[in-house]
Amino acid sequence: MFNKIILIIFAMKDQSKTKVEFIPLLLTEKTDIYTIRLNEEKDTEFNKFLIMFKDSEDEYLKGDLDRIIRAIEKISENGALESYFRNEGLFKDRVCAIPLLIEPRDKTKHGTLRLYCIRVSDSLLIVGGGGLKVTDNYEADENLESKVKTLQAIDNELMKLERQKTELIDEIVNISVQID
Amino acid sequence: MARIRYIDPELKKALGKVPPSIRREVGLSFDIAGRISEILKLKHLSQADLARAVGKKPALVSRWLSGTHNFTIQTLSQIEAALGVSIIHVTKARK
Repeated sequence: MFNKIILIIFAMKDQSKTKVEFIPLLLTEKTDIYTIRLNEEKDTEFNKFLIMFKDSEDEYLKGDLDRIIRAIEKISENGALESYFRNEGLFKDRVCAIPLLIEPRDKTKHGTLRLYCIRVSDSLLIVGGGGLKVTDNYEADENLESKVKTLQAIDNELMKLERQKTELIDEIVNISVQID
Repeated sequence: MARIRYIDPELKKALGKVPPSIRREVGLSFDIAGRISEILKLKHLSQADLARAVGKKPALVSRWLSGTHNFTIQTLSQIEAALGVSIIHVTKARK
């Protein structure tokens, strides 16, 4: 009976983990850009972001979305160059945001959009989730912080795989990771 | 232009709706940043070297290379003069 209880606890602990799959978003001869699907949900994190803002009535946010999407396209053409990205997470991780030329606006009335990603190399970018940023930094926003923390956890798992000599650019479509 | 091997259908649909002005704005911004990066690499110069050459702070040069900077003609001219190469070309009308 006691052993059965232990097994149930372990099973429940595994269910608290999130399964992450890597889904192709835009693959070119220069750069592979993937997004992520969590726990086999219908929509990827990129699609959720798109769905949330594509019909926005706020002209600034509509413009941000257009610029982010176009930036993804340019990155696929030119490479995920290090100079394009600012580290958003901690120095030990590779979490960044998709670069956005922000149109000047009244910040008290309009936020800006932020879409986070992991820049693995010039040839491999993983796009996560994002949202509306109305605070000075992501830590002050529960939703944005959660998106960044998810990517940090994923990046941690990817770095473990790289230390085991996994070639992510070749293998990423075939692997999934589990994060807390 | 890099050949596309695969594009998510929703991304492709969304790209089709980006207004031409924003397409060109982001395209130019990224291409200029990429071109400056390329020249620095070819000339074995760092961002700090460029910053010193134009008399600006390194953080500003970093912003120039981010693909999100709205360049003025003055700034582009300073960069071209410092690097000794053209970054952008203007197509002249045929006579």
